[in-house]
Amino acid sequence: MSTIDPKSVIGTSKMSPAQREALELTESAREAAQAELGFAGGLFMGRFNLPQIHPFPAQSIEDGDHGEAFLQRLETSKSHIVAGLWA
Amino acid sequence: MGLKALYNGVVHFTNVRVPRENILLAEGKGLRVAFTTLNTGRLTLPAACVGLSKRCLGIARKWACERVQWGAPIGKHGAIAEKLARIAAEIFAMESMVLFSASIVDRDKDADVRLEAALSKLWATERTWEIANDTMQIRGGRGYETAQSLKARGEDPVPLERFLRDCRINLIFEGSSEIMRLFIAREALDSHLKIGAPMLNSQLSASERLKSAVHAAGF
Repeated sequence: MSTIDPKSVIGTSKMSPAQREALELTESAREAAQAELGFAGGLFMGRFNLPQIHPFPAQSIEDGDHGEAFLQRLETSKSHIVAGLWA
Repeated sequence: MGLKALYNGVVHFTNVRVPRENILLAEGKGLRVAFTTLNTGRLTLPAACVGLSKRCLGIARKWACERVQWGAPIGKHGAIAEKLARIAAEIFAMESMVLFSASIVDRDKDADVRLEAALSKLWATERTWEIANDTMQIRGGRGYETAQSLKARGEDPVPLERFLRDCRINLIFEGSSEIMRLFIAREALDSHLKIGAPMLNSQLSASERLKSAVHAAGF
């Protein structure tokens, strides 16, 4: 068995067989990173990509209404439950 | 300790047989499936943390106005005002992170939010634990008391000790804080590793390592 996965970028030569096996399993299950970095990934590469966070992504009105309706229902049932608990 | 409705146990799989048509993804790819599902929890858990933290801030603010010590409401004392300000600032940051990370997925269901979700999970769960702890500090002895006990004495039944018990698990499940730090470092450094790792790999030849070092320096 080869001691290093050619795709892996982490050297495993100083690891015990169990450590190496665990690392290789985890590395093989890892999804390959997307070529284009997200905002957080960019920060680690020294890039502050402002257009990715500004203007701050706003929720659509439709989604917002959906959420508000749910919260209203939750609030109603919550007060029923609380009233029951402390009755 | 907390989350009394939680089913918690140790699961053993011994000689379990799975019909071929029931296999998700492929044989031996279970860890990959598990990794994929973690992103969802790493967005919903920090969102729940924002909710709990806001509730804590509400409790802390109310008590800071009501409770008088040393001739003034405790919120007027610098030590408590500082806690309230920090709690509010951290909630603002936490909520912004969660909204931003979730909006990436709203825009594109297949977006790679591993880093953003992991950062939100780590930050929100750790801060919420501290916020619940600080709120208990502000509530003093009453914070340590159960809601039932407070209620029995005719006081406002604020279940703060329960919040503290309930939110401790957040640092453990969906990837413990320690695993999150490893994960974030691994993903964040991926591009760096691809460029510079061979020079540190003692299994490669000296010339290959030198080549990588030169390449990394050029970058």
